[in-house]
Amino acid sequence: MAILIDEKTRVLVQGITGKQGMLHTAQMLKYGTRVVAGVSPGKGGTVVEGVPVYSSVDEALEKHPEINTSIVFVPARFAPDAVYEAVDSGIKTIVVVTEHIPVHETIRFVRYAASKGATIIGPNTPGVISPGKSKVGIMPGDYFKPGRVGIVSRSGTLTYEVSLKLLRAGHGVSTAVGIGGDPVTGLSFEDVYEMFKADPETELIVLVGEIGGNKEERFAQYYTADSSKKPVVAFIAGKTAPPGKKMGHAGAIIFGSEGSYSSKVEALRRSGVRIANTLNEIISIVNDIARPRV
Amino acid sequence: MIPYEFEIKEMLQSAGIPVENSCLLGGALENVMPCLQGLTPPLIVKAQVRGWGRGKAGLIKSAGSVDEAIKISEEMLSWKFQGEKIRYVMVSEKKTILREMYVSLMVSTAPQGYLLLASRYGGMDVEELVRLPEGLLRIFIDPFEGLRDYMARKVANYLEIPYGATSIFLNGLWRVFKDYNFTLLEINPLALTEDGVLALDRKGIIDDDALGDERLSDIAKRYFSELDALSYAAISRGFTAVRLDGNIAVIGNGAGLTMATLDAVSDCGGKPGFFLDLGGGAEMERVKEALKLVLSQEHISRVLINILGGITRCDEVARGVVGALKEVRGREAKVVVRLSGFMEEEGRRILQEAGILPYQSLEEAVAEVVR
Repeated sequence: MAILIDEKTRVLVQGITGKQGMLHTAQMLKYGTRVVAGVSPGKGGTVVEGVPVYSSVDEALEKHPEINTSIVFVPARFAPDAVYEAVDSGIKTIVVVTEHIPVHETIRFVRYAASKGATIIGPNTPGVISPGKSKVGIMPGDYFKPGRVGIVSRSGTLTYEVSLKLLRAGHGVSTAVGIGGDPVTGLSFEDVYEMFKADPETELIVLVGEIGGNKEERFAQYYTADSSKKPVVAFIAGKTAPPGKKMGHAGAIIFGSEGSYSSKVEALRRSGVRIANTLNEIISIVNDIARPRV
Repeated sequence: MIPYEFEIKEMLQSAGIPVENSCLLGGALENVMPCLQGLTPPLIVKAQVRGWGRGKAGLIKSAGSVDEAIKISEEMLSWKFQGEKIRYVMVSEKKTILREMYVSLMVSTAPQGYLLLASRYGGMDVEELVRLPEGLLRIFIDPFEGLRDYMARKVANYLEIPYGATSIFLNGLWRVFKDYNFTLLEINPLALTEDGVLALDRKGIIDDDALGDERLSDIAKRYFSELDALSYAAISRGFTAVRLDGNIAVIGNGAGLTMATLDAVSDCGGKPGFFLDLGGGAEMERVKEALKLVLSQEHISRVLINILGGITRCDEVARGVVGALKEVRGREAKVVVRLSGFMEEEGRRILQEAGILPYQSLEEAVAEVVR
């Protein structure tokens, strides 16, 4: 097993004729991902990397009813529309790679998708990879080998770094999920943790967070209340970053001291999460919990 | 982006929210004289700044006459706030405040939507005062429902102000919040005065990702024109750059990785002097510009470039590094490069030809730059 995507995943690429869309369609195909169709309004009938292109999601689904996942490479201005189109066509898993989407737009499409039973991964995400099964994203496939560690992260390249270290230490990954670097995202750390908990192949979870916002603190609260915990190891980036400027009374009222490195690390530690102070400590803690399998 | 108070005041005014009379100083004085002469003293003089904490920094003062207000303004215009030059000063009619309150709208990340906050206490210490019994009213707003009448009734009841005035105020505030892509919009104080309920001070944050919006073009233009050379160079290239106190610059691709690299340098006993996140898909020109920008900082004597492939091509990065070093020949600095990922081998070859030994692991590269 794996979470979110596996060997049964059939992918639609929205924005397939753009530079990023084309590049990563080729990379996903090379990895073995079953990319079956692409969409680009007005470009129906063309072919990219051997993948047929349609002008709308409905047309693509009519020809390829097996599509169950979409990945969006559409520029920020048009990305929300692409998400609504995918949701309205009934696609249930939508990976939004696009960055710089205004947050007011994201709030709406994320809520809309949830109301229709669809899951949004992102925006501003490197995507999802279930090594050996499918990659729906932009991460370098060679950095991830199959195994029993689940990764959930707010960051892109830092996730690759962590996976590379796991790989060199002989550990593989069940699924790695980038929830996205924006303040508002479709999935929270808790959502992904619940999925990993239900996945018998995932033995433990590595959570990669960073300073700012309160997603890590919210996870800590959730984990504290969880009576049947799966082990979680966390690394938080930004220990030595200079403190941010004060951003309003409302921020202080709602978040208090949340957002800082120490707030996150203390909340997570109190909840029972094991904290890695350096990237290499992630490996020594994982070694403690799981045996290398690769 | 934090807009100026006077910019927000204009938005609120055009949304029908009652505010006080005021004039803006900063340009030629004779142009603003007719406006100033139309104000009835006593007056209040407020420096316009992009940030919070103005009151506590002594940048809000009272004036008994127009002449005194001008004198204070001219003095303030020679001051700085948080390292930034003060460019504008607002002179307003001073209202007799019977009661100060607080109202704000902000983005809620979980659940995804908006929060309306109201407090019967306002002013500089509001975050302490909301902890008093019944010090805070908090209402979640669904993005598809928006602001409803019952919410305005709740706020009116809580703040003990008339529903009519509350409704006009909240609907205007909501419209401004949405139309101009605020992630936070604060009225502090919302003041009960002899002239009714007025929004006497206004602050906010506008989503940087919305600055391309037509409605924000003037405000964005003013903001970009005020950036210092370094911030402008960074923003126009899509970099995130922060100057720090040490001597080691860290360049990385992706905020998380660059921060983790900075942490690793500190853990190893190094002193970071510059943080630069290239963002995704950095190409040759951008890497070159980034390294040149970093080397233009006199306090930097060592540079660590940490690039993990993915969207970013290592060969492009290597060409950028070599290109930049050619252009700044003569600048003494130790440059350490760690490359891994997409097109890694080609990248290593290019660096080695130029006499730079690339590192494959982060720890080795960090140890080398600190050594």
